[in-house]
Amino acid sequence: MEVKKILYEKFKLTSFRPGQEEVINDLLGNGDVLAMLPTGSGKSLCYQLPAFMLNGLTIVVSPLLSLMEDQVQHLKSQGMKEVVALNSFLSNEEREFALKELHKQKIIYVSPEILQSKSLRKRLKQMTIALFVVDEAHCISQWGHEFRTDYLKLNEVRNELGNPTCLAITATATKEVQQDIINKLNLVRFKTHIFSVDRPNIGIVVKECGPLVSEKITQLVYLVKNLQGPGIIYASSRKWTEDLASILNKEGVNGISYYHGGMNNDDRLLIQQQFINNELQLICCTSAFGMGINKPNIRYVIHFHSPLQLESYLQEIGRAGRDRRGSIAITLHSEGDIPLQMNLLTHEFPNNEQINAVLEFLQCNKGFRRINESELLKQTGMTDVMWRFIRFHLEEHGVIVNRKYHQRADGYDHLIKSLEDKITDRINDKQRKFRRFQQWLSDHTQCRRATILAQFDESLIDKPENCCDVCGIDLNQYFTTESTIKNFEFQSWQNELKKIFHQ
Amino acid sequence: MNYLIVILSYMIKQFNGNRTIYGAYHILKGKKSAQTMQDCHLFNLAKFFGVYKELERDTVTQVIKALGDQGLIFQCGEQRFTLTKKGEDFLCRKVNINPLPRYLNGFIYKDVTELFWKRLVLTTQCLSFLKINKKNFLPIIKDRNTQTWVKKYLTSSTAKLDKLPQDLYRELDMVLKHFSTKEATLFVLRLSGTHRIGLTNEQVSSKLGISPFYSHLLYLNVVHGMLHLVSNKKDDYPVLHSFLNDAMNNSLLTETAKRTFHLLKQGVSIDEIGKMRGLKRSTVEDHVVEIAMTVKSFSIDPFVSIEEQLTINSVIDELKTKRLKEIKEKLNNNVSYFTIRLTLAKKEIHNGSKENLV
Ligand SMILES: [Zn+2]
Repeated sequence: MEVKKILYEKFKLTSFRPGQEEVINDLLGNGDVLAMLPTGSGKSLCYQLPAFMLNGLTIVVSPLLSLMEDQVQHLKSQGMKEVVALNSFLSNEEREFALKELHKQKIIYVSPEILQSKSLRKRLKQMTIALFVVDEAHCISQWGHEFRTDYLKLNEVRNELGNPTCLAITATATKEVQQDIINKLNLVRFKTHIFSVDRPNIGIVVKECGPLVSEKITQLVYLVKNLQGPGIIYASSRKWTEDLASILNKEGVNGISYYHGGMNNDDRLLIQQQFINNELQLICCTSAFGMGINKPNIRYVIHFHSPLQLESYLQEIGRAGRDRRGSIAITLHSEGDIPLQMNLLTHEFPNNEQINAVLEFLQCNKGFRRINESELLKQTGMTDVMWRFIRFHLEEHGVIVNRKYHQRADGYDHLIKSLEDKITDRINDKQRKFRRFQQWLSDHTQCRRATILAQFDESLIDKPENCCDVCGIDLNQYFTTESTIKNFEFQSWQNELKKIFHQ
Repeated sequence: MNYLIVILSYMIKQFNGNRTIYGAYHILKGKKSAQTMQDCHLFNLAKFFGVYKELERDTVTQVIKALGDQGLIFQCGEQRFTLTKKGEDFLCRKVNINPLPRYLNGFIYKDVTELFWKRLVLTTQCLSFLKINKKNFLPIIKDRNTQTWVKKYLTSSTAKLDKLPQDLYRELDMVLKHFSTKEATLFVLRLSGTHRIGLTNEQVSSKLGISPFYSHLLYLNVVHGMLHLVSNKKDDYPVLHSFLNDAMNNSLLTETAKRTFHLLKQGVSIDEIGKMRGLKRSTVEDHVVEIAMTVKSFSIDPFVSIEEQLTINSVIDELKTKRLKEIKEKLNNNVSYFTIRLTLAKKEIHNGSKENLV
């Protein structure tokens, strides 16, 4: 009963969600675990709770900076202060301070990159490590939808730390990816807890729209005006999120804002918090929104542009209905979007020009003790992800060692060729996934839920009443005339200032 | 981009054809180069320094095209413009409706603004929650430095913690009376409390029916005005002033220039600094110029010989110009741009055109 007690005292919860207790018990018994729990089922509790019960430090490897910080802030706001996030954005002083204070912590969130730091590893080796958690474990597999080369080095780190108990956890991993996780982390004796990816309380609808954008917009306006909020609308570009927000605004929809990676941090946080506090009822966003957001009452997710693959789709619709109440996911599908989306696919990877620019940059700065990465990104115009991809391959070929560049005597043609081949492989794989997802979208003959589950080697046993558009679903059930947003009344600035300070 | 048209017309008027439109762009972006910082003082545009960090070149090009199409500007050289008569009238009219913010002073307050604002926002949010005995909430400012500072601030003042909400409220109420209703409103709407989350600049601007850029300038106007009033009358505003204690001194240097400065003081050479930090020589040179412009006690003698300084200074006086290229040509290209920039920087700071600097 110890577990339940901590659950209540620390997390103010009285019961577990399916899967959580099993994972936690295995971890407390020192067994390695591979767990797949669907989005929105409280994955993080699976390691946070044992972290507070076990003796020693829990290391959580997480791919996204914002995700880490959100988790840390969230825990702290619940009164759990022995938590820290270490990432490459900390200044040297901050990092040193954090390292010195490490023994006071229970959980440390790290990026896979920072785990490569020698000083951190040295410090960790002096400590008792209770758990080694690989969050979003699908990132370790190049068959997963968010492959991160840095994840491949995690096994080495774990070895070095004396093989502490390991939890590899993810929300979406096909059989293929699961096997890859097991191999890459070298899990030998371990328990698996694979739960269905199905979220029975989310109805799945694909609306076929013609090639004209105007048709989609008309649909969107109609849906948003009628659906019970709060809701999220996903679009493929920053520009589109802004345009959709302004179109809906002009149509008289209140409490709406856009959200994307181009906004500054402060604004992003304000919008996110307004949404969580029900001061906004609708967010138009890119896929940058939603990671780590804990909002239980999202009633609908509309994809104005469909995502590029099934796993992303599941992750995004999974933000609806975490309170387990009826919710709906609607995709506005149009053949007209395909060329643009194919384009998006290739743009995730560096092109020939960028590869050449990188090598040229490295060549020009060969005397430096360390590669100046921020300068490199600025000059070559690559994204962080692209650079990490290139860096990983250069490291494999010994051209970069410990962040220092080593010139090659035999030229670079061979290197460039192998890099380009790798990229072509990855693009082909992404295109294959894209086509498969497009097929799913345009197939109006088979139950959508059943066909999703089939891709994860599952079969649909309990079909929910509101299953999908193919099985038949009445959208009217999700309509309402009530607004769910808190309206705030503004009288004067003097009055408002009084309210803030409770004067 | 509405109000940007007005600001750019004003800057064109001040330049009067002596600088390209990108000179204005760099000022608005707050580029810490010797040229830009000198232009601020030469053309009396210091208030606009760094007030629009997200400005893009394309936007400037669009505004220039719009101004040209309407016959408001006249092209007098490559990317150089003057205001036409029609342009002057336009500017006059626009400024009558929406005046240039009077307290705006980007040059002096650019770097303190954000720090002061973030501390104020987070302290306000914390006090709002503490006042009703709620301890757990998500801080609306994520920045770790701010969080650390506010935490320390609130815990070290426990004795007066129960008085603090009232004191801060009174000071804000008093200082905001110096501003227009519109300005005070937009400022207060951006703060967060227990009853609601603060609004973004864009949300405020649509609520008040003004352009986002203008509301951003008005917000800066309030903060800069506050900084001015608070630092001049610290006895009237002890709480607000305590947000600034450590901030006003070295903050005029960028973080990266501070690191270069630190190494220079240890006797490390420019080339060595470049190698150690993985920066190009020209970048480190920019830092040195920045330091020379900001720190009065910094000597440029190790970089420019006394004779060179004298020669360059006499050319500047003779040509009555501050254009680097002209100076360099007059000296038969025997001196580097870096040398000229450093000498100019020293001259400027000694002329005392920046009274508020350290
Ligand atoms: Zn179905």
